[in-house]
Amino acid sequence: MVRGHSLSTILEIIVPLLLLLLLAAGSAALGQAESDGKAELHSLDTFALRRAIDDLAQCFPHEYTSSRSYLDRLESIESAIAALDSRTESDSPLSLVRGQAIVGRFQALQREALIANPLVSGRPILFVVRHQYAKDHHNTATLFQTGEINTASFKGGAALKTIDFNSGGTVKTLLVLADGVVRDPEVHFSGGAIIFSLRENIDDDYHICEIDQGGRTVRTLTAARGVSDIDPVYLPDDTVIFSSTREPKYCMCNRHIMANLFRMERDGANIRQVGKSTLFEGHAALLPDGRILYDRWEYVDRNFGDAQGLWTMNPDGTNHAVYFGNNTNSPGGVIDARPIPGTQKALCILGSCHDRPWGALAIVDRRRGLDAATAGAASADACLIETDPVERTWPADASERLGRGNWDAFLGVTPKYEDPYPLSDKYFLCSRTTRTGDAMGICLVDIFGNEVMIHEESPGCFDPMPVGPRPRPPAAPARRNLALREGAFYVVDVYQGTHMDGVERGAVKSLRVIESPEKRYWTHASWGGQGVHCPAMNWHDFNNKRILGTVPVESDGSAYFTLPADRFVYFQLLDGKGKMIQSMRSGTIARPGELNGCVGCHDDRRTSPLATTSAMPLAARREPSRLDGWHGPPRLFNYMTEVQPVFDRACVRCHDYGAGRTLEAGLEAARNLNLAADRTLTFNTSYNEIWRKKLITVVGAGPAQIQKAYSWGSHASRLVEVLDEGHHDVELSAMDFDRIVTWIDLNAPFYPSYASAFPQNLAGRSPLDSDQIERLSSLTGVAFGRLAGHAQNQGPQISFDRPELSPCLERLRSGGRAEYAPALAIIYAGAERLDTIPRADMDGFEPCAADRQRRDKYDLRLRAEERSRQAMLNGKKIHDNRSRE
Amino acid sequence: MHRESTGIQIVKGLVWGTGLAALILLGPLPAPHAAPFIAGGSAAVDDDRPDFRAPSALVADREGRYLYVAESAARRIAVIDLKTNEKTRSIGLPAQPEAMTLSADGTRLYVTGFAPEGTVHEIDLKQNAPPRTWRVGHSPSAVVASSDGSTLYVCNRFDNNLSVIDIESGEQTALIDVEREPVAAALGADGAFLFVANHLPGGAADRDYSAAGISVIDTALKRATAFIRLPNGSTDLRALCAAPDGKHVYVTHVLARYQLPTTQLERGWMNTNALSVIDAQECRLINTVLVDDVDLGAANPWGVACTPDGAFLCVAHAGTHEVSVIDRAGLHEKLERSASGERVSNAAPTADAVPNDLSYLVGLRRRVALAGIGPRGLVVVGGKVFAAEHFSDSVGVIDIEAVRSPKARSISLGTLGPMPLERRGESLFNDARLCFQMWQSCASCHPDGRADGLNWDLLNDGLGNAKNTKSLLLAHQTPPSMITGVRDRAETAVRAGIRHIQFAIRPEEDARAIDAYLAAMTPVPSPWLHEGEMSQSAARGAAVFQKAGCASCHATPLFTDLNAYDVGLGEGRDEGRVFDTPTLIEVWRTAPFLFDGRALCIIDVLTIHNRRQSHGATKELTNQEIEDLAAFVLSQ
Repeated sequence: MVRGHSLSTILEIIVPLLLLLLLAAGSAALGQAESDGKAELHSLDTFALRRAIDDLAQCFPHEYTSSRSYLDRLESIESAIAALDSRTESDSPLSLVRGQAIVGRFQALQREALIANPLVSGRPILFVVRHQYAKDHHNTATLFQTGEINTASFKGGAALKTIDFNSGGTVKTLLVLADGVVRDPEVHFSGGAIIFSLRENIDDDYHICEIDQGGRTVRTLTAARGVSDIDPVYLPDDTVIFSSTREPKYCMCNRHIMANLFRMERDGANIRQVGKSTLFEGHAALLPDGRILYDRWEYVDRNFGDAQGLWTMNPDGTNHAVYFGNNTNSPGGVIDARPIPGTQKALCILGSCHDRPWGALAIVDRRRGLDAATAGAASADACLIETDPVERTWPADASERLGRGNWDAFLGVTPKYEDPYPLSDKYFLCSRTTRTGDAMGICLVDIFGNEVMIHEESPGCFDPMPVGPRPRPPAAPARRNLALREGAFYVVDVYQGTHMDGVERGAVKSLRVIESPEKRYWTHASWGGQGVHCPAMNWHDFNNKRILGTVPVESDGSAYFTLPADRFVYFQLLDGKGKMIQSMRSGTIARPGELNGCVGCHDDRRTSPLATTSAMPLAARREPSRLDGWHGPPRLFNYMTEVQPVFDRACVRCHDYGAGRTLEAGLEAARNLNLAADRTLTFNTSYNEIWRKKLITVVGAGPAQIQKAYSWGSHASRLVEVLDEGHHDVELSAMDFDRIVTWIDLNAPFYPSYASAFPQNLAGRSPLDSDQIERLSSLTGVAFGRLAGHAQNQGPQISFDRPELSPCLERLRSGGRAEYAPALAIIYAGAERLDTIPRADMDGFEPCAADRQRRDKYDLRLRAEERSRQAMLNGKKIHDNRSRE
Repeated sequence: MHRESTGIQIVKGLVWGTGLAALILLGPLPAPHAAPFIAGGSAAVDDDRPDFRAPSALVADREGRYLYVAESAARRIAVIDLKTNEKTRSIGLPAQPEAMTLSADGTRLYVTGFAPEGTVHEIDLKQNAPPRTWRVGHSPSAVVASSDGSTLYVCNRFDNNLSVIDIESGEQTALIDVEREPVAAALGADGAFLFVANHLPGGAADRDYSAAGISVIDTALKRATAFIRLPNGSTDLRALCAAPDGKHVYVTHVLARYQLPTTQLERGWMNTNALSVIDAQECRLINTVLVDDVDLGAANPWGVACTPDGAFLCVAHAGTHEVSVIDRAGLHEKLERSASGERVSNAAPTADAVPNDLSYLVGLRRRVALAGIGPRGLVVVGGKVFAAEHFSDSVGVIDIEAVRSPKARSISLGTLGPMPLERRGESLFNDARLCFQMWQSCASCHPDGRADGLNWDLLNDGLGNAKNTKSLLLAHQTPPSMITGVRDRAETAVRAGIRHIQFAIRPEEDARAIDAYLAAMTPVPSPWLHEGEMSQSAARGAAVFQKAGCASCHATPLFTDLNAYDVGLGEGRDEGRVFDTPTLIEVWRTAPFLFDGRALCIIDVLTIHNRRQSHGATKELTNQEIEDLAAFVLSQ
C-alpha cells in the first residue's frame, strides 16, 4: 500500500500503466508472430521441392504421373510469395494471414508430392510404435535386460504396424504388446516375412521372432533365458545375424551388459557367435557385397567415449575390418549405418556416447577417408583429410561438431534422427524427433533439401522401412572351419602404415600378440580412471591383458603366425630389446581356420597391398610361427607377480619405507620414490608411485587418434631411460628388464581380473569396508573416499603389508596421538581380511558371490556356444528351446 | 634360337640381320581369303557362322554419322546409323574381324582378320574402290593408320611383332619385334612414336619383377627404341589410346598383387585393375592409377578412349560391364601434384604409392553401368561413348553430357538365337559379377582361357609356394587339374575356383556352363607352323622327342600321360613334390615354363633346368637336337 494516496488516485495511476503494458506486450507478441511467419515463409525451399519433383518425374516417368500438376501448384505458390513480398503492407496482419496460408499450401504440396514418390507410396511402410528408450548410460544401453543394473528403465507398450500411403495412409497393425516392446524389424528379401526382436514384458527377455507379412503367424526363433537378442538381419543364404548378450560381459567403463554379433539358421537353430570384440556390436546391416556392416564399441588402451565406429565382417565372422569413424574424437559414436543403394556410401547416425542411439543423420563416403576431419588437424601427424568423408548431415549445422569437442559433442544436435533407411541414393526414411519431448515420427528426407514428417503416432514411431521384395546380395562361402581351434594372420610388411614415420627398416624384430579379455564382472564401487572402473583395474585405462606370445618379424617386415581362435587380440611391434615401437589400440580376432592377411600396421584401409613388393613375403614361405607365451604360458597379467618382484630384487633396498636408518628417515626416502610392494587400498605402493610421479609415459586411456611410433611406452618412459643409462649399481637380468618394459608397453596395467573380492568396498578393491574407511578417515584426517581415483590421488596412504609404515599414520605417530592405535588397528584388520580373502592381485583370489554367479552364467553360455558348434560339425540342429515355437 | 620360317619371318631376318630395306622382298602377299562383301540389313549370315556376333571393336567415321562394329564371331562389320541408332547394313568378311581403324582421310576402313594366317582388309566406305586384302602375321590384333595416310601398323599378336605396311603399294615395309603378344597400339604426337601394348609379361615368373609393358617404336627408324616398364604385376594389357594432342597415352591392364597368398579379395588382394598414363613425348610412365574403388573392383579394364575435346577419358570394364568416365584434366593435375612430392592423401602419400590407392579417382570419375554385357572396344563420338558389348551382342551407349544421371542403353546388333551353353560359359568366365566385390573374373588370371604369365600362391597346396598359372586349354581332357594335381578333374577345379578364388557361391549351372566353355576351347595353331606344317627342324625334333624320353610322359595324342612326377625341380615347400604332367599342346603360348615359371623358354627347360636329367634325357643332346626338340614342342 502506498501511504498517503487515495485508492482512486492509485487506480488512476495503475490502470493506464497496465493498459500500456498490455498493449506493449500484445504488440510484441504480434510482432514476434509476424517475424516468425515471415521467416517461415521465406524459409520455404521451393527450389528443393522443384528439384525433387523433377527428379521423381525423370526417375519414375510411368509411376510418378502428377509432376506437372505439382509443378504448377509450386509455381503458383512461388508467385504468391513474390506477390506478398511486393506488397507495401506486407507486414500487416492480413499479409501475415496470407503468408501463413502460403506456408500451409506449400507444406501440403511438399507432403503430397514427396509421398507420391513410388519408393514411399509404392509399398507399405513398416514401422514400430513404442516409447523412446529411457535415457541411460550409453547409446548401447537400450536393453534394460532382466537382472541387470538398469532393468527398471524398461518401459512397455509397443506395436508393429504398416502404413500404406497408396491407400491414403491406411495404418495396419501387425502386432500389439501392451506391456512389451517390439523393435528392430527387418523385411525378408522376398518381402513376405519380417524378423524382429520382441519382449513381452519387463520380466521377459528380448527374443528374435518372425512374422509373415499378413501378421497371421508369429514364430519365436530364439528363447534363451536371461539374454537379449536384438537387431536381427536376414543374410543372403537365409540365415540370420543378430546382436545378443549371449556372451554376458560388461562395458569396461561402467556396469552395463554388452552384446556381440551372433548367427543362426532361419529357424533359430545353431546359434553361434561371430563377433568377439569386448564391448558392443550392434545395428548389423547387409552390404551389397554380402558383408555385414555394424557398429562396434571397444577400446584397448584408449578412452571409452569416442571408441564407437563402423566395422565390417564376413557373415561367418571372418575379416573384421574398420569401415569408418573408429579414430574420430567427435562424434562419439558413428552408429546404425546402412548402405545407400547404387553408391559406395552409407547413411548413418552421428551420435554421442552418453545419449540414446540417435543424433545427426549423415552420409559418409569412406573412400574419402576413414575418419571425420579432426578440428585443428594441422599438426604433422594429423590425418590428412582431402575431402571430408562426411558428405552431408541433417541438420546441416551438425557438421560443425565434427572433430570438435568430445564424445558428447552431438548431444546438442536438434532435431535428432534415428533408424536411417535409404530408399535410394536420394531418398531416405528415418525416425526423427517431433516437437514434443523425445517422441519420434517417421520422416522422409532427400538430398535436395526436403524433409517431411510423414507419420506421427504416440508414443513414437521408429524403424521405418518399405515392405516388399528387395535385392538379395550374394552369399559368401565360409572362410572358417569350426573343427579347428586356431586361426592365422600374416602381415606383408609391418613398416607399411600411416604412423610408422621414424621407424627405420630393420628396427622391428618381433610382433607381440596380446589378448584384451572381456569384462565379465562388475562392482557398484568404482575407481576414477579415465571414466569409472568398476572395480579398479589400472591407474587410468580399463583393460587387463594376457600376453599370448611373440613371433619373429622377418627382414622384409613380414610375419606369419597362428593364434587361438576367437580371442580378442591386438598386436605390438617390438625392437631388438623387446621394447614396443608401435601398438594397436583396437583389437581383432581370427576365427577357427581363418587365414587373414594384413598389408602392414595401421595401413590405410583405402589402399591395396603394395604392387611394388618384389617378392612373396619371407614369412609366408615358412611354417607359421607359434605363440610361445611370455616367460611361461599365457596368463592374465598381474603387476604384483610379474613386475613387483623385479623391484623387490633390484630397487627396494633403496626405494622403500625402511630404506633409512630410522623410521622417519625411511619414510623420507619413500617420499622420493617408493617401489615397495606394500598393498594399498586400491593397488600397491610402487604402482601408485610410478604412475603418480610420471616415471612412465604410457597412453593410458588415450585419445582417439592413432599415435605416432615410439610416442609412448618403454621408449618414451623415464623409468626405462634411467635403467638404460645405468642407475647406481642396479643390474637387471634380461628377463627382469623385459618384465619392466613389457609392463610399460602393455600400458602399465595392475589387476589381472575384473572380478572382485570386495565389491562393496572402496574402488571394489579395498579390504576395508565403508565403515572402516569412514572411521579411518576420521582418525587420520585423510579423505580416503576422495582418493579412489587417479586425478586427486595423494599417493599411497596405507600399507596392508606393514601397517605401521602406512603414511596416513605418520602424523598420528609422530604426534603421539591417541588416534594412532585405533587407526593402526583398522589397517591391521584390513591386512587380516586380505589374508583370509585374497584380493584379485593375490594368490588364492576368489571372486565374490555376485561375480561367481556371473562366472557361472558366462560358463553356461560358453557351453551353449560349444554345443551349437558341435551340432554344426555333426550336421545337426539345436535350438534354444523348441517349446516356445 | 631362330625360328626356321618363310615369308614374313624371313624378311624379319633380313631387316634385322642386314639392315636392307625390305620393300622388294616384302611385296604384297596374295590374299588367301575372299574379299569383303556388303550386305544389307542384318539378315544375311553365312551358314558356317555361329549364332552370335561377339562385337569386339568399334570405329566411327569422321563425321560421326556411322559406327562400324566388328562382329568377331559373325565375321562381319555392322554399320550403325548414329542418327537413328539402328543397324543399317553389314559388311561381311572372310575372317574374324578383330581390330579396325579409319584411314587418315576417313574414306577407308582397315580391318584385321584374326587368324593364324592373318589379314588386313581395306574397305572403301564409299564403295568407290574394290576391297584390298593383305596377309600379315599370326592373329593381327590391332591396326593403326599414320596421320599422313601412308602407313599401317599391324600388331601380329602371336608372332610377337608388328607389320608396317605401305598403304599405297600394299607392301609390308618392315617387321618389328616387340616383347610379347602385341594387342594394341597408338601413335603419339606427330606420329613419331608408336606405343604398343604387350599383352603379357615377357620374363620368367619367379623373379622380383614380372610385368608386361609398352614397346615404343620409333616410326622413322622402324624399330623398337624403348620399353616402358609398368608396375610389377601388370598383365592382361588390353587397349591403349592417345590423347587428342598426342602428348599422353593411356593403357588399360590388370595390376596383379601376385606376390601375396590368395587368402582374400578385399582391397584388391589378388587383382586390381589399372590405367597407366604414359608421357608420349618422353616415352616414360607417369604413373599407374587404379580404376577400382575401395570396396568395389572394376575388373578387366579393356577399351580406352578420350573424348575429342580431351575433357574425359573413358575406360570400359569388361568384367563389371561399366564405363568409367574420368575427368582427364583433373587426373593429370592430381598426378602432377603426386609427382611433385605432394601428399595428396593418406592413401597416396607419395607418387610411388599411387598404384596402390583405391581412392585416387574419387571425385574424378564416375562409373556408369552399361545395359549390355562385356564391353571391350570403346569409341567416343561427340558427347556419347559407344562400347562393344561382347557377350550381349549389342553396342552400349552412354551420354557423357548427362553423366550426372546417366542412363546407359544398348543398340542391339540383332538376336540370332538363344545363347549356346559354351557361349554362356565364356560370358561367365569373363564376368566379375560372379566374384566377391567384382575384383576379378576367371579371365583375369586366365585371359582367353589361357594364362597371365604370373605365379600365384593358391592355398590348395599350402602357403608360400606359388605356382605359374596354367592355361586351361584341354584342362577338361587332361585330368587331374592344377600343377600339383590336387583337383581330381577340371570340373572340380572350376568349382573350387569359384569358391576359393572368386570367394563366391554360384548356381551349379554356372559351373556347368564354364565347364562347357573350357571343354570346347580349341588350340590355336602354333606360330611355329608354316601353312599348317612343321618346319624341318621341328620335324627332326619329333625324333628327338622320342629319343630324350619326353614322349613317355608327354604321350600323344594329348602330350600327357595324365600322371604326376617328381622331376627334381621342387624347392622349399615343394621339394620332392610331384607335379602333374601338362599337355604340350599350345605350349608355345604358355611361357614362362615349369611349375614356378622359372624357365623363359623351352630350351632353358631342356638345359639349365634339367641338369639332373630328371626331366628327360637331354644332357647328351647336341645343340641342334635341343633346338630341334624345342621347335617340335613349340609347334604343338
